[in-house]
This record gives sequence, C-alpha cells and structure tokens, in this order.
Amino acid sequence: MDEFSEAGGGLAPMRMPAQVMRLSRMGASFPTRLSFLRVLMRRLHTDQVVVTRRLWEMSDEGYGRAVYTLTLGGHTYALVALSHHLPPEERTDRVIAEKWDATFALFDGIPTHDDLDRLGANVPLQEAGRFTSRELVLSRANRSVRLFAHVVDALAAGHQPDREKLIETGYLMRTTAVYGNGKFGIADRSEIAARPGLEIAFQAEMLTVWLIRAFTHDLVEHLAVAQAPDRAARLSDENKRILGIGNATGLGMAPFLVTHPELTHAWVHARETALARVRALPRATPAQRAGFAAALDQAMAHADSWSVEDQIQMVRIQELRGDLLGIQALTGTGSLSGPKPWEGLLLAASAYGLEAQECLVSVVLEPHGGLIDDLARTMQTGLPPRLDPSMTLADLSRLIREAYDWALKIDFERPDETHQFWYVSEDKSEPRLGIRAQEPGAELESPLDIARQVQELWRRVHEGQPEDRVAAFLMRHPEERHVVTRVQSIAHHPYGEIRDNLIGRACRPIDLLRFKLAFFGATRFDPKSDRWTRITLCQGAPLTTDIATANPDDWALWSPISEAA
Amino acid sequence: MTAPSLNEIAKRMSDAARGAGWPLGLAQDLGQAAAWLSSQGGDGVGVAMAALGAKPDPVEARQDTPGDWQIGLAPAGVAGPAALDLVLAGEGPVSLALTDAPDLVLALAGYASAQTGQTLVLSGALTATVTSGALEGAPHRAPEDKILRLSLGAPGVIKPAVQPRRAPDDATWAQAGALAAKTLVPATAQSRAFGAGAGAVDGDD
Repeated sequence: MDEFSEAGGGLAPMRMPAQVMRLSRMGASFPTRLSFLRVLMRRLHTDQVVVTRRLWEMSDEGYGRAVYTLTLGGHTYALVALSHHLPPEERTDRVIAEKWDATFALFDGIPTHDDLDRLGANVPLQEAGRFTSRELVLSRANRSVRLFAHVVDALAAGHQPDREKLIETGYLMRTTAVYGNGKFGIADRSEIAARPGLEIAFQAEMLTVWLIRAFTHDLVEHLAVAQAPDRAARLSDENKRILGIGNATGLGMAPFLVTHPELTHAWVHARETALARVRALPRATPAQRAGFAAALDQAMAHADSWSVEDQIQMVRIQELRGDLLGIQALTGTGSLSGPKPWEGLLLAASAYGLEAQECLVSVVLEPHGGLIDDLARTMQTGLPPRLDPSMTLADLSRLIREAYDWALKIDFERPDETHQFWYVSEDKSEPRLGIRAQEPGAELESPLDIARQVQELWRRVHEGQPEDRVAAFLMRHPEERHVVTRVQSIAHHPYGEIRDNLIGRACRPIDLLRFKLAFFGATRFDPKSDRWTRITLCQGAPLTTDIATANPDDWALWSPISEAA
Repeated sequence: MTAPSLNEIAKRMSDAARGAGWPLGLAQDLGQAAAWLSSQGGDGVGVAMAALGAKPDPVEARQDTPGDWQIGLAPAGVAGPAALDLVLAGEGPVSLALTDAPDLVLALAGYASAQTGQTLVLSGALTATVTSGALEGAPHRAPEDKILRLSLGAPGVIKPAVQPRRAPDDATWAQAGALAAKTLVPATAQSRAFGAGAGAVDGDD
C-alpha cells in the first residue's frame, strides 16, 4: 500500500489526488494555517521583526517615494514605494495597463540614492523597465477610488472613516501583479531560496504585499494631514486591520499550476498530510475543541460577511452558510469528545457542499499548529526531476493507466472537449483563453491540454515494443519528450496534476485561480467573470507596528463581524 | 542591456526554440541548458541560438560493439538529449558526431547533472566534467577532434560557484526574442476584450 491508501505512525489515510485535484473542489479552496501569508506572519513574529519607515518624500497630493526596511533571517530588505498621478481614464487592473497609482520593488538591502534614482526610473515602467538581482519582487497597485477618497476625507475631517465602507471594500489599493523569480531581470528564486525566512514559496512576494498594505495606510494619513494639518485624525489600528490589500487576478496565474506540477504537489501534499495527521488523532483535547469552536465561529462570521455580485459564487456562499450551521450542530452533540473526533466529523461533513467541506478542512487544521506547522517547510521544490530513460514502455504504459485513467476516458472527438484553447497574446504576453471554433490562434495553442497530450503519448507508446526503453522511444519520438517527463514525474507527485480537461467547455479557469490564491492566503473571492477575480490579502493580519507583539495566528478567515464580537 | 536573469534566459530560449519549430520537450531542455551555461559564466544564449539553426529531426543510435553507442551525424540539440538519455540509463558511453558545435551538449549535460546529481564527463571535441551541476575547471575545446564522447563519471558533490550575470550579445538576444515572439498570438479586439475575461469594467471602484 502506498501512503495514499494507508499509512501508519500518526497519519490517517490521505485524501486521494482523484478527489482533491478536481477543478470543482479546487475552486472551493480556502486558506489554511499553511497558506503562505500565514507562514510569513508566524516567521515575522518569531523573528520579532521591526519595520522602519526610512524615507518618506511625498507631495501634498500624495505623489513621491517611500522606503520601508526590515531585517529577516539576517538579511535586510526594503520596500521601495513610488506613488504617481494617474488620470482616472487610465486606471485599469488589466495586465495590459501601462500606468498605475503606485509601483513597488522589494529591494535586497538598503537602497542608496543611486539605487533609488535607478528604481525611480524603472519601477514605474514595470514590464517595460529593466531590473537587477538586487530587486527581488516587482509590483504595482491601483487605488480603490471611492474608499480611498472616503478614508482621506474622513481622516481630514478629524474622525475615523465609516466602518461599514471599510468592510465593504476591505482595502485601499489592489495590486494587479506581483512579479518574482527573475521576471524582467529581477533576482531568480534560486538566489534567495536558501535564505532564512524566504525558503518557502512566495514568501518574498507575500512580504511585499504586507509592506504595501502599510504604505497604503500611511498614504491616506499623509493626504489627510496635507488637507487639514491641524485637524486630521490618524487611522486607528482597528481600522487598519480591516484594510488589507486587494488583488485583481486574471488568467496569468492559471498556467503556472500546470507548468509547475512538482510545486503544486508539494503544496497540496503538505496540506493533505496536515489533514491526515489531525484525522489520526485518537482524541481531541479541551483546548483543541475550544480552538476548533472559535475557528468555526470565525468561519461562519466570515461566510456571513462574504457577499459578491457573481450569482454562481453567491449561491455557493449561501449554501456554505447553511452547511456551516449544520456542521456546528454536528459538533454540538459532544461528538468531538469521542474517539477519532476529527475523522468522524470530516466523514459526516462529506454530505455537505464542497465549499463547506474545504472550509472545514481549514477550520479543523486551525487548532493544531503544533502538530502541522512544520509541514510548511516542505512547500517548496528544487529543480524538476529529469525523465527516467531506463524505464520500459510497459512500465510507462502502466503509469499512464494508473495516473491518467481520467484522461484516457475523454473523447476528444467531441467538440465540447476541445472547445477552448489557451494562448499567449502578443499584448504583454498575457495568457488568454479562446474559443477554438470562433477565434484565430489555435495553431499557437499553449500546451496546457495535458489530457490530450497523454492520449497521444498512450497511442505512441502502444505502437512500440513493451520492452523498449524510454531512451530509444524518445529518439524516434522527440515530440513526446515533455509529456513522458511529466507522466513519470506525476507518478511521484500525484497531487501535481489537475484531473480535468483544461480545454473542455466545462473548464472554468476561475477554479484554478481560487486554488492558487487560497494557498497564498487570500480571502473574499469575488469573481468578476469565469476568468478573473478580485480577492483580499492580509485583511485582519497583524500590522507592521504590532507584528512583534500580536498573535500572528488570530486572523484565520478573519471577518469584521467576529472582530466586533 | 542589463543582464537577464537565468529564468528569463531559460524562458526566452525555450520559447525561441518553440518559435523555431522545435518540440516542447527539446525546447525546454535547450532553455534550461542555456540558463545553466550562463550560470557558469558561459554564453548560454549564443550557444542555444546557434543550435536552433538545425532541424530537430529524430536521431538514431547504433552499437558497433555492445555498450559503445554512436549517434550522428546529428545536431547537438537533438543528439545531446538522446546521448544523455542513453548514458543516464546506464547504457554506457556515447560517441557523438555533431553537425554543429559541442557546447550545447556541455550545457545540456550541466543541467542534467544538476537535476540528477550525477557526474557527466565529456571528452574529445570538448573536454569537461560536470558534477552535481557544477563545472569542474574550464572546458577545453579540440576543434580538430570531430567526435564528442559522453560518459558517466565517479559520483561526487561540488558546490556550484555562483558566477555574476553576463549580458548576452544584444543582437543575439533580440534574435531570440523575435523567434520567441512567433509563439505569441496577435492581439485582436475580441481577444483583448474577452480572452482574459476582464471585459472593459475592471477598474471602476
């Protein structure tokens, strides 16, 4: 038996990839305490990080530059923030935008004046600029115009902004891209991957977002003081906590999951191992039960405060609210005092909707930090594995049959199964999705049609002799090299494959986006179509001013309702 | 220009290979090989671009004596991965007769060594040893030798030396960009409006 069907030593059976890696379930993902933002907050707290605003050169209109610095794991980093005038008609969250309200770089070390001048000339250009390995992350953001103006006006009038308005939007700015890993000349991931505090995936990016949030708080206070120096109020810490950072995310995020199967596997494997550890617990301690109840209350408040215009998602949220009430009722009967309480609860909850099931995963993990937080260290990978050239075609065939049975069943003769095609536009290399029968460009289709590729490989493999080796097969069929590599890798990284047809009519890219964003730690998914969404990061998270003293874990599925309670 | 990152080199050269009509797997190998060679202070971009002049047709390997494989005449971009497959499968050393420069085989071997932790030894037309992805000393070229031999060496661990970034030749980098652009779909009003799903109302609040 493998670890997916049985494992001893404190691990219950893990959920199978065929259950977990379906778009429908991925599209119901929730952040957990292993999400990257949560991991970062714990690390910053443990390191007692102190954030210093080292430079603030800002006009009365709020245009200028600022620098925030901190030391993490023995390295000093600086957020360089540049605030610009942006005519309203040029404000768009699309990747194809060329101007933004603010642009940012996370800098390695403390920038000199020359560095700042160089960054000042390049960072506002974003993709059109050129960068060096001293820059670790590049980002930009646009104001949430109505809320931003309201907050400035309220503070300038000497009082706090309307709490309901803060809650309704949840952020002062939303980022429209957060670039790392060598983009446009910035540092490769490999250059920082061994640094304490940045070992885990996307930590530098999350650090950047968290610092941007502090900048947005400072900017509204600055503008209020500029408007009314004698009367302006400071934004209260309570209200700052309400204000996270928004993010608008489109299709650009989706191909990453397909092109990084080993990394995707590492993330999901960590979460599923955490769940298996908890499910294996023979008893729940009073503290664990209390922690669970508090987390469930918080999740329910979160669901109650989560409202979106998208009708499909809103129906799911309403179902989630009802299901969480049902789950709460289940746990109110003393069932958590019995043997294997978490296993029993998760089993009982399998009757509820996918949103509730995945939300429950997050809630169940919450009171078990001591048992599972170490798994965060596994949420990274090195180089992808090289193909195994010594494997026989018989063994390769067996791998396909075992790991891709779902793919072999798809009838690609049916137009619905090839309805869509992924491509990269010449517009800023933006990934897009087209309708095959209606749009040009299918001949340049991006290779995200994994199921179809595997079927083609299956046919080729069965044209050869079973005892033939992959090395010889690939000499005859170099066009199969990438998919052979993938199939072999997935045998060892089974959570790395999305088990749905990504070019079929039924594929909703929004499911991919939510899955990835949940691993980042995003909440308040607000789909604007089936291809892009707004989300909120850092809402409820500790502030730069209290990270050393605040509980870094008390903001799971944060909601203003539970905060008020 | 400022020097590109290794990730940019891998991406651009892989896309350039695809733009030149190479199969995805070989293109990805070539991109990673270019980045690896650049990480060792070599001209990864130039070497990869030079290789893209060849057609990536299938190759054959033959054994005149057991355990002594021969490939070629064939281009390095196709013969290199095939030879590495044979060597890493434990099939024995491979002799390659190449239609182009052997440097790409070194680059491919370097990345394969980094992936597998194996030691790979090149001799003949180019002499070099790569251990766990680290190049031991400077490669030596012998243009008069028309055969490049590839074999497994003794395992070892060497910490790769970090080389400063090196900017590729501007014209070569631009040529690679032009090839890579062949994988991009021209923008249309429809794709701009609907392809990314945002429509026109994405920044209004």
